[in-house]
Amino acid sequence: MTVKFTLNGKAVAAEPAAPDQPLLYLLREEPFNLNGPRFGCGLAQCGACTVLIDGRAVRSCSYPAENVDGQTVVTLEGMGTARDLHPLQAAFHAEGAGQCGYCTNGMIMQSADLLSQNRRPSEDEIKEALAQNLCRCGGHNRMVAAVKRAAAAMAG
Amino acid sequence: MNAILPRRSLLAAGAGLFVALGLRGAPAGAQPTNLADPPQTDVDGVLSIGADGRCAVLTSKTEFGQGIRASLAQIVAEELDLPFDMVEVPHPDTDRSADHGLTGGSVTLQVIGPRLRRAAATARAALARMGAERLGVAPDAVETVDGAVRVAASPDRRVTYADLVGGRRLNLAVDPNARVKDRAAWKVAGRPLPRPDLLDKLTAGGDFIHNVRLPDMLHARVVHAPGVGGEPVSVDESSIAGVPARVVRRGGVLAVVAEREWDAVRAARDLQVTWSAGKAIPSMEEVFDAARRAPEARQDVTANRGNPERALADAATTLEATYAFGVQTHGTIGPSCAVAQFEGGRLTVHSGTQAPFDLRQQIARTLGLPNEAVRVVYHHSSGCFGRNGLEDAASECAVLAMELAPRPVRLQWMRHDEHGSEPKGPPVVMDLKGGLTAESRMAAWDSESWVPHSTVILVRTTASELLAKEDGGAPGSGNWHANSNPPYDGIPAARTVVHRIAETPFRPSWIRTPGRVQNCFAVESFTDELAAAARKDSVRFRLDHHSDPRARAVIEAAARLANWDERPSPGGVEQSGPIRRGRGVAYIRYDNTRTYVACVIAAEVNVDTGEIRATDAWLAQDCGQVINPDGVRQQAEGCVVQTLSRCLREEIAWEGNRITTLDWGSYSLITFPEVPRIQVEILDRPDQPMWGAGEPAAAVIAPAFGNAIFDATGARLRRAPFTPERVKAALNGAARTPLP
Repeated sequence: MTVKFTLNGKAVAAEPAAPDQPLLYLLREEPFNLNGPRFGCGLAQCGACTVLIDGRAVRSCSYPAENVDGQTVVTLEGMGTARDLHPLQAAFHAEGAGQCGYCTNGMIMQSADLLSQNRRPSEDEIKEALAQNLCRCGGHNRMVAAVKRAAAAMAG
Repeated sequence: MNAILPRRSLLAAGAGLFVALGLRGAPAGAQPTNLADPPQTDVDGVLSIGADGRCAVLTSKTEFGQGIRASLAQIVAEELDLPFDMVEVPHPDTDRSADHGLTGGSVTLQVIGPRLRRAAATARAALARMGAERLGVAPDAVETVDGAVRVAASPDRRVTYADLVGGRRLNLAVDPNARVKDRAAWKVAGRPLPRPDLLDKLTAGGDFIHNVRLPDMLHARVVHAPGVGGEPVSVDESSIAGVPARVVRRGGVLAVVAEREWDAVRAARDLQVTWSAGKAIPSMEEVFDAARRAPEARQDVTANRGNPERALADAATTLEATYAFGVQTHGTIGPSCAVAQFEGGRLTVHSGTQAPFDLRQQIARTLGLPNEAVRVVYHHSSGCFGRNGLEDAASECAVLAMELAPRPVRLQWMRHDEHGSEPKGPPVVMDLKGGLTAESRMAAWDSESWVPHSTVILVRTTASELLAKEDGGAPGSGNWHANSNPPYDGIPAARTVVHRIAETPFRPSWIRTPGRVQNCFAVESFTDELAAAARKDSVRFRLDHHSDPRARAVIEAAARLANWDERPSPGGVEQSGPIRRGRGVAYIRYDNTRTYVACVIAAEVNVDTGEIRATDAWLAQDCGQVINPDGVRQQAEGCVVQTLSRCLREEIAWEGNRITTLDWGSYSLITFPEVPRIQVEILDRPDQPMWGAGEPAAAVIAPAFGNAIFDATGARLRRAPFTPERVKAALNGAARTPLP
């Protein structure tokens, strides 16, 4: 079936390869070719593939593409660009938060979900919100600092 | 073409310099490049100044998040008098880069840094001479500033580097005596400048290998045997009849290929395969004893002074203990990936490998191609922290590209491939004996340990094994003996023997801080056992046995950061309910020859459940002259967190010859709430050589954590990881065994 949805602000349509195709594969292939959401586990365990669907963080590796019909999807590409950074991206950059950068997509998208629900989260609340997002490089503390910084910037 | 060549390479390639540099690889059959002394080149071999005045640093060293691009660019920018953002370090490409060997061992800055510094200083001196001539003044009348030569007395009279040499070769031998800047004059080096690749990574760019897309590209998944050494006996292709995908086989390499990625994924998932049994391996319970019984390939004596046997016999107190470190996986978040294409007689392989030139050779040998027919292009990958599956995926993808030529093919491993089929950090076990004098000084040390042996640094790839081709790699990698000796020169009698065994259950490979993590765990935990037996404070005891002022400085700095209270262990503070708190210290001098690190960790132990937690880490490091303090700090922080993760619960499990920990549920990493506060102090030594910072700090984490748990509870952990079951067993043991 053809799915019609909003992707990073644009109305789009696509044809999943099979009824069980996860959204992640749809986003990464033609015609979208997105790089933000990344394959990490395919099991919703690590968070590297996280996108926002109707404003909430979702693991796109385990979300059937067909379900996205009629929904609004935002990926890292839709958050900001190098010239027009989202406050979370700017804060991650300012804190040097991210080494290899593979998990970073998920960290930013999950944090965006958190900040949409809780404008001034405590350090513990940030850690709890990111507890299901895995990072191998050990950049955790810098990422927590970045989310705090972004929250302060967004609160103005 | 944008997907093939990183932007920075394109920029430099546009200068036309690379034509002269192309295709200079090592001859076929050459051994891996000597990391400590890679081949020397002229200035053009490592630096090129483009028509736009930008400088490219040409090296096989790879950036994978450790920040090496920033540090190398800072060194060159400093000596060339260029702004930091005018120096770029393109990703390695075997057609274009100087072969400085693979990236690893914390040797990049140590070996390549001084070379680049001299090359850049040579280039700057030449540019100054050329500029003076162009400006018609005496050579000593000019200065170099911001990529230009100008008359010192008349700064408006200037000529840019681009005007002088942009896009052309310098044709200069590196002058070993080229005058380099004094540390006091540094403007770019020595500062915490941001890594140039980070912004791309935060905004969905970043040139990851996973994002390489070539026109008309196919998607593949390999199907690996579930058991070690298994090969496909029969494949039921009808099992995927409903999927638009097809089976590709060459020798034991089995894959499915499809136009759309998801079709490849589900075909690999659904394909019915009958596997051969593979080889028998020791059980989890037997793995350390099996190491002791394994055929010995070589024996190294890593310390040999005095007469430890007699000293032990004469000692007032003696202790014996065995330490063991479990089998671990690299835990890469993004499974290994590669893109390859065979076209026009040439194979191009895109990979996140740490060893582009070595991988080229391995693939060429596997496929029976000359080295020159293979090109390896590097792209960012997910942090691998040792030799994970990247080279295996690349070699498998190369095999598929030959079968599917001329179409390009992308292969990404699934999570179970990464957890199950990449090479592993091997089991390491050490038996130790130690003796104290009546005055509570260490008098004797005697240890034996068992580690994998290899004289070859490359790990043989899966494809070469499955095709039964030698690729110049070995079943495992070397260097696991390092730091198996006690670092204390105050011990008069010490003998440490390392048995390098021919075989371990799974392919062994480097995993961050290979050998030193495991060996330092044993050595520094046992040192703590001796300190406790002597009823001495753990910091004081170490200082009392070490004469090296730089060693003493890091130990004292870590203790100062931690507000260390001097007293013997155990001495943990009882808190409410079942929680006990304690702190421990550990120290290493990396390889006994370079970076010094000491760390204090504070830990909490729940004596009812055996659950443990590190709450704080205070780390002091002396890696000589510091090029980028934030890079050093970041690597130290990463070492703390990653190694704590390895200490808490990381250990693969297997039944028969099948690994059963194939996802993050069964083999999990540390999570945000478990990460401690971390403070890092860098002891900069501006007048000393620069040493690496990527690995050393990892070595001290397991013993500092274990020593903290002992301080809290009196329970000694001698087996890593420190699972709650092992902690509880140690607590029970501690309750039964009164302290000396």
